[in-house]
Amino acid sequence: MSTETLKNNKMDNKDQIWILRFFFWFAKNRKMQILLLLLIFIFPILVLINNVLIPVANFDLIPGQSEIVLGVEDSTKKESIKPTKEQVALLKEIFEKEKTLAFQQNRLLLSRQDSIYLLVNIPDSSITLEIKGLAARTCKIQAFEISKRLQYGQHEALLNWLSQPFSLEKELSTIPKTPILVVEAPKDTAEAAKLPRKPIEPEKTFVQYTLWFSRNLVIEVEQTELPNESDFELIRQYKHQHDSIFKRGLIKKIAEPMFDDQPILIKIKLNEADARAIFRAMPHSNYAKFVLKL
Amino acid sequence: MKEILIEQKPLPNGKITVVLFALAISLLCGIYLIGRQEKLQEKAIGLFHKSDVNFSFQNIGPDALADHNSKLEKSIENTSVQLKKLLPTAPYIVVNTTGNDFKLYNNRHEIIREGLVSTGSFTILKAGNDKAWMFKTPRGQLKVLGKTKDPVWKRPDWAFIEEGLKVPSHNHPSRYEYGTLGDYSLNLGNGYLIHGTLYQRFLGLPVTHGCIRMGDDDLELVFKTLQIGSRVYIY
Repeated sequence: MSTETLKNNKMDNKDQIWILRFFFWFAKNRKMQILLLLLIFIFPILVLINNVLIPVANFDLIPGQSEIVLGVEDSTKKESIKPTKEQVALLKEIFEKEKTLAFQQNRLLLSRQDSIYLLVNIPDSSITLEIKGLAARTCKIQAFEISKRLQYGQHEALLNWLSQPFSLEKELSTIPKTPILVVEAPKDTAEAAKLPRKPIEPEKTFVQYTLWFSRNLVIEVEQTELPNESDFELIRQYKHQHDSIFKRGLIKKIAEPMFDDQPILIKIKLNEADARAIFRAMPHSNYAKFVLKL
Repeated sequence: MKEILIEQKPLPNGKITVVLFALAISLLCGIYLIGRQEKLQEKAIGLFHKSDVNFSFQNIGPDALADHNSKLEKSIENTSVQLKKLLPTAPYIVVNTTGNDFKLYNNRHEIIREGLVSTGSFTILKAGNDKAWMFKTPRGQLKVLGKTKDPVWKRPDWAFIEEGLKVPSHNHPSRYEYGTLGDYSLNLGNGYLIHGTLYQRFLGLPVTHGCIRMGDDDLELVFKTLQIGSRVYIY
């Protein structure tokens, strides 16, 4: 055995003894155990307070909510009578009617335009493609997930937020909006005869898309059917692009835990044919309009 | 004997090791939580925010609740009437260009026939640098502008170009083709038609130059049901 190997063995033994001694020392030392637990919780607690609790407590759930609520408070400072049970029930009925009215007024507004528009009715679990007031296609929402901001937002702010149709600003999808094929005209009949005559079969790729609307509304649509193995790469690329838009860096998250334009997210699952037809039928950004009923 | 020796000897750097170890774990946990902070924030919303009916109660006014409710009912009824007026009162057809299918409705909005069609292929035909055609079916609400029995197809320029043929003069006999469009056609304007096809096997596929092709039986019923002015909804 060389002297170097002997030295290394001695070092290893020393380390092992030190670790053993440390564990014995730590197991007997109650003060150290408490210190360890206290120190472990320091950062997580700080993060929870600074990045979650304080920002959520002070955040405007619906854009412009604080101004609306303050306005109502100012105008009603003198009166502070609490509503009875019957009045609360009537108020809830009024809320539903106000939302229905806003939904119908938006539909009327959009029916005057030439383009196709989209209606999402959460209470009915349905999505409708409408053309000039006619429901061209109504699809059943198979599953949905809706941001708590829409559930806990103040009614007046929510109504104000819903009072106008939303405009599509940006979209990201696993399928092309229009499956365009470019063909160069043949020079003569011989070249034309060589061109493929068999029509291209409709694509069956996995349908998943994200639609960014005005007023921070983001709708994510995904087909309910499981993807084929051949679609995995496509989905990976979509998710990568999606994350590059949504995800913020660690420092940004610490510096600004919640930002004003934080998206209000609605996730929807539809069957493949419905998801594809809706994406294809919706006009391009800026022309595509959307009405939401909660 | 060894255990006693271990306990009795003072441990160098023991405290520092505990502190550093705890801080490292703490930092990792903190970073993990920051990574998931949006989800945590979403969960925490219910802790701090409650939809408060008091604001609305004071805003409307306790005495005005019933009045406000009945006003709302009238407004909803009014908008419902206006929305109903938008619906067609005569039979109409809805065409889906993604699934290449159709639904024919009567004036009571009941489906009387559904089936397959062929719509625009989304092909761009390029002829040199200056000319190109995009073969897509227009979307939105269109109307039947005319109806023809035994229609004759007047082939446009692209029909010659895509076959590598020379484009003939405007009224050249080679432009007129008999039987290609089937027994009936309905004119939707701008050169777009609903017509029959020799290629029935392609129904359900996007193969046309923008027109809507139908099977013979479906076309006959559509021709007989829809009148001039009937609405055609395409999405």
